[in-house]
Amino acid sequence: MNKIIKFIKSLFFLEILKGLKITGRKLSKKPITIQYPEEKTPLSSRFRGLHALRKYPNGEERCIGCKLCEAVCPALAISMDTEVRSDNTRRTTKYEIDLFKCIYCGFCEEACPVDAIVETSIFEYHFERRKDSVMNKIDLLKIGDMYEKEELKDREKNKS
Amino acid sequence: MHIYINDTKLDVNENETIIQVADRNDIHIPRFCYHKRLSIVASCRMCLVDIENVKYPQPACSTIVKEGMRINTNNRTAEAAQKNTMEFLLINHPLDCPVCDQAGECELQDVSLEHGDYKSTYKELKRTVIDKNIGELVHTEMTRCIHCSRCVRFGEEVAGIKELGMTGRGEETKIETFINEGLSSQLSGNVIDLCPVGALNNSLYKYSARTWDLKQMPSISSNDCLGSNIFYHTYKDDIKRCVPKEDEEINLSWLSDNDRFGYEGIKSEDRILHPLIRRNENLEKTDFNSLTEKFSEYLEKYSSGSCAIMSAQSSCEEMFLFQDFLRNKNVKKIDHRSKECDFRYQKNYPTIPSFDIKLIDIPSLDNIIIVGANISKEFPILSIYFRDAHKNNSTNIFSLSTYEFEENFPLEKSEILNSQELENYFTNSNKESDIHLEKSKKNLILIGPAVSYLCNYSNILNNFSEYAKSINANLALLGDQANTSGAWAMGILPHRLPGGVSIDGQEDSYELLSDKDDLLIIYNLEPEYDFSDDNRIMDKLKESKVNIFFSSYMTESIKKYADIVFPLSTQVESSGSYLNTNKKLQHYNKIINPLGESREGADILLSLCNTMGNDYTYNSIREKIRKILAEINISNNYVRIKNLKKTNSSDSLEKMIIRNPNSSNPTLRRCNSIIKTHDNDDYFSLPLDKSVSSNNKIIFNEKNNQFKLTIKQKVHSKPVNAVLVKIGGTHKQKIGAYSTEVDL
Repeated sequence: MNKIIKFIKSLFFLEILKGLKITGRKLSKKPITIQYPEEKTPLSSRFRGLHALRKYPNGEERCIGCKLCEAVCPALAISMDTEVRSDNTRRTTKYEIDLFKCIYCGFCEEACPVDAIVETSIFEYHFERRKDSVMNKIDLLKIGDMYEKEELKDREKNKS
Repeated sequence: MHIYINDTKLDVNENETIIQVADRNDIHIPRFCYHKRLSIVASCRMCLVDIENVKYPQPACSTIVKEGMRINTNNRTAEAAQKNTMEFLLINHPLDCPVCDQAGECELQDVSLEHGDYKSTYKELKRTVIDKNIGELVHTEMTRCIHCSRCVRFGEEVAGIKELGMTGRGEETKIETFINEGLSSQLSGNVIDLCPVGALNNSLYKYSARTWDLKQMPSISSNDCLGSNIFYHTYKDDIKRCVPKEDEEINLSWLSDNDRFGYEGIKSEDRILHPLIRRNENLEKTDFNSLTEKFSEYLEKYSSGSCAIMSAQSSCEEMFLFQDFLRNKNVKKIDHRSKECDFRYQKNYPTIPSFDIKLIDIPSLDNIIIVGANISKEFPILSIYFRDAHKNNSTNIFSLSTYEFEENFPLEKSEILNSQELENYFTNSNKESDIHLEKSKKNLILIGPAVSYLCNYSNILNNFSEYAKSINANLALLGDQANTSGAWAMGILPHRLPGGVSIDGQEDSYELLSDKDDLLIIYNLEPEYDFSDDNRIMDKLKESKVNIFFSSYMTESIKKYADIVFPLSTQVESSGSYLNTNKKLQHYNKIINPLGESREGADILLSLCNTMGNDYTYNSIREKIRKILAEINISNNYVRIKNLKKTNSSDSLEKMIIRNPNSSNPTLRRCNSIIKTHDNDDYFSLPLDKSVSSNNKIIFNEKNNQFKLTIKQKVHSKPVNAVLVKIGGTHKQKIGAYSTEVDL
């Protein structure tokens, strides 16, 4: 008996009409999807994206090579070597982050006593060769230079 | 007697302090100024504990236990006291832990975390202190200092040189050197370990790693015959620093600067990283197989006319294999005494020269006569025992020497003699100034390694042995290198096999550098610095047909004369064992991998031995050495020689080499920071038959080499007209020959 009723219902395309009802309802409303490359969703000021090494306003690098980020990193993505710079301060000679290992947890940022390593809001990047995933100190400082203003704005927002 | 700490009943001895009882029973009491080997000052107030029926908290380090005392280390009173102390200590302590080398092992950090408060009520500015430069080895950051005064007490009580002191009061208190000079004590590095905060730091380690990354590996010191126990701290296959490993029988909690900083040289640019062979006048890289082939070929050809000299810094394993291989190849002249020139004593010498008594028994002695050794410079660890002996047992210490120096313990009497006077010191019975020791007392005569460089060493040994026997004294023979005792036991000698078995048919007139040899094998020695006569060895190298070197470092003479060079790894890069001066066999393991293609000496020698059909393994060699040593039994160290000719007093113009402990082996010679700190004031004494004024210049002819030396000062009246000459440059042993002309 049920089979017969099902067959008759299928002749009237009832399922399709049910689906179209939802489509019709959403047609009049504002869409929630965005046209990604042209349009972007707003990001939190605490977004954890690509890493950067910051500098002081006078151009001096902030990182003092304390290795706390290396120690705290749960994915062991950070590795660094330190030395005594000519002005008798502790500085890094090597600072590398393997972005394939990194899980973007933000612990490095939290551990840093001088706010040198930060995670910026950049999330659109790619590597063309495998070894490119290891960011070195020069790359990270460059990103820091480029995104210092945004970083300062984000920090201002986070304060309140 | 019983006391209660935190309601646990504990057995205590009389006159113990609370902190000693607590330490023994693993009860934690925070402290800064207290150290078990230093005196008690109770100045930091960190160890305050609550004692029942006592109104205020008392310092655990200076409070002596009483029967039935009830102590609380963690109740509210004690904790409040600790918290307050901590707050005061942190008032002026900078929060620079991220850049501080002490971070991670800092006592202040640990105690602050455990007993401190998370906030401070102090709002004013912190104090800063301007650092003084106190030398190449210890780097200071005095703003971090919490004035525990451990370093000051160490200088006064252990090192014997009051170099660091506390100046000023209250806010102005500073730890600094009184005069603007670097630390000069050979034990100065210990203040780094003593400092509970990061005020005194290791200069070589500075900012190169963090403490939590370091891997700790035990080893044995290769720089003196005491065989101090050490820990190397490594990071990424690189030695970052060296700290003492506590050993109640040898180095206690201390370490000499040579041991602590002596690894610096292994990264020297002179390191030989490849097997080298001479082709077309040049040394060229090759592989080990062709080296061993060539080596065996040369040995077949020249075996009877060959001479093999090995460093006494090599391990027992290397020594056993070296002599085993060469003796099988029919090489008879094997020796390790490159700096000696008088060998008449050798048949009567003990199988293992040793200290004869245990180091811990030194403080119980009544009289000690030191012959030709500057203990505080050459054996800093030993000087701690001597100081202790003088302090606690008022031991009389006498020093007889060929040159003037300072000791860090008080000397009852110190005489400067020339080698003939030294020889006859106890044989001239009519002399008034003689030292008179009683037979019933505990006496020790200590012969330093520098005496063995003298050309009447046998006479001195014989005469002092006779005297020692007459006063019932022990005779201590200190080795020149880390494994001199091992070299004697392992038969690196022309007249003895391992275990002291004599070989027949050895002439009495043995001389190491005299006759011509076709084949010279030099193992881990540098011809420029390690021989009694550098001119003779150069001539020998020139005259011999083939020179084979086993060396870690390249020198001018190796570049010029070597035909085959085996690249040898240094001690930290190899495993082995050392027999120390107390006849204690101590094993050490490889700390880091050998640099480049260099190989462990024992590996090279094992493969050489096994080409002859032996099937030695590392373990079988160790077993053999253990067996050999177990069979040796020596009752005393006396060296008494029959029919010994007296030294002719007309040969009195003699250059004396001052044994320089800071460059006594190839690796130490390349440790720049040690040389800069400790090697900058070296003199050697030169007796003259003319009187000199201090402005004269001496030109010193050593064959064709001319050394111009300015007289620093005319120091001693004994030996007559001897002058101390300051030598420039880093390698002091360069001038090391006898029969030298002096023009004035």
